[in-house]
Amino acid sequence: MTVTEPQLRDALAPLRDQHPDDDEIAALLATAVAPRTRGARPRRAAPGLAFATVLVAAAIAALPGASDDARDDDAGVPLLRAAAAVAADQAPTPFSGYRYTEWIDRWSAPADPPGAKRTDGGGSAGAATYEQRVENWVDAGWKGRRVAHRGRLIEGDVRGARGFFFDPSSGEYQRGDVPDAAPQDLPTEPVALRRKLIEAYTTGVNWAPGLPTPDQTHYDLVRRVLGYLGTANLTPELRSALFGVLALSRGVQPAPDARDPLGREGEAVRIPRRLDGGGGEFVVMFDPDTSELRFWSESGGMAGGTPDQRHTLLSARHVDALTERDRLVPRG
Amino acid sequence: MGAVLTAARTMRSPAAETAASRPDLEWVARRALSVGRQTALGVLGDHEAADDVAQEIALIALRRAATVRDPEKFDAWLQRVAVRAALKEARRRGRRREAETAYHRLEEVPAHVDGLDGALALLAGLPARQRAALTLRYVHDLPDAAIARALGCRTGTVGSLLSRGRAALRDLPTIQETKR
Repeated sequence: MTVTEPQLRDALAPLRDQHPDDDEIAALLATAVAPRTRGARPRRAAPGLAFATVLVAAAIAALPGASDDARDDDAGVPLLRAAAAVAADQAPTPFSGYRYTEWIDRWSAPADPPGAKRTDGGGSAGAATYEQRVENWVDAGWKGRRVAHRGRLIEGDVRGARGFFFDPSSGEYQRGDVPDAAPQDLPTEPVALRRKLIEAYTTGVNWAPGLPTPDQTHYDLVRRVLGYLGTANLTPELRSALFGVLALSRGVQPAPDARDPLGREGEAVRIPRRLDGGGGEFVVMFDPDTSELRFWSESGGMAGGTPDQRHTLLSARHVDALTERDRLVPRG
Repeated sequence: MGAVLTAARTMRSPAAETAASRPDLEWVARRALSVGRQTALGVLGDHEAADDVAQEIALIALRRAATVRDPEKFDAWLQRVAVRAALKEARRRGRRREAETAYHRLEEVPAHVDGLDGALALLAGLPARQRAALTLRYVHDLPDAAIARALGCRTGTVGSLLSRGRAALRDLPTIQETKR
């Protein structure tokens, strides 16, 4: 005769009483604050860990260049930390081949049609908005190809819609001023990676004394991180660390109403362009299940000469040859 | 019309829920540790291994707390993650497989063991998936469909796992004690 369900419920009832105590919860929360290397087995939370975590947090706060670290009221930070965790859990891409991405970039920039008079303040007489489709192929060494197709005028005077953001071009993938190190040698801990990226920015350009300002550094750092997350062929660990770098930005807020130009939903955050919260903002949307960017935009820059812009990811996949667009390579 | 649609989208948006009421991390940690430990203990029968699995699950839950799309489904997600982590750990530890018979368990289970030790002794030696199915049903009170989702199998397979599990337990001393 088989045992009955009530008998089994009674017999297994002690399992239902297994709950953590307050010390375990405190230790676990302290553990969760500390970054964890992917693949490393978490150690059991110990009472002393909370104190150690406080020490680590204090040490991070004291690091040079960490002055714009996220604050407690930066409600968007958990979203970026979650994206970092998801990114770390993604399957690594094959060593050979390329990460292929296809983007629609939209730019709104001051434009002077031929013969137009400048305004009294010397500003441009008008503006032009145009879209351009761009494709990138990037290998594991961050080398590859970039193809920009002829732009399409959305509004404004077509005679002003000329230049870098409009004309077709084809050339090497532009990775920006990244540190002179192989991708696999870059730090995968966010604070160390951030320091490395800032170091490359501040020492790789012949800056005038006093420059770059902290605002410039912050602005450029965010742009570069978005560029790498969007197009570069990176390991899951490095992608995770880049989300961690974004999470160190000041003033990150959720953007629950954000939709990308294709109407897709996703997790989204706003990041101010300046450290004081002004000067416009970045909006970054990503897929919460894969951490893949969906779009990012930058606004509020027209007056300062930087075009408003948005970049929408149409497709991202791994291909095994330059010029190849459609053939998928099994991951892992 | 636009305002209505915007409001509707905002209500559906997980990010909007997050902004309106950020997840209580302590609640997430407590719930994840409880579900993780109960499930892992049932599947693994080993306190230390169960604590490791529970903590791993809780850390995952905390990292993803901000992206919880539907709080009502949080428990189901936890149970699914917990049972899969526990089964993975069971495989890793090379514990006893399906081929084991109830006869061997009869020799190992003490005749009169109460409380948690009794519950663990009851499940000891059963194949891991049967232990998981029994734990999800009789500890977490999940229906067959939810157990099937957690185990990644068909509903019919769940019925089979539960039936075989109960059949294997019918002569165990602790159950006989309970019957009286």
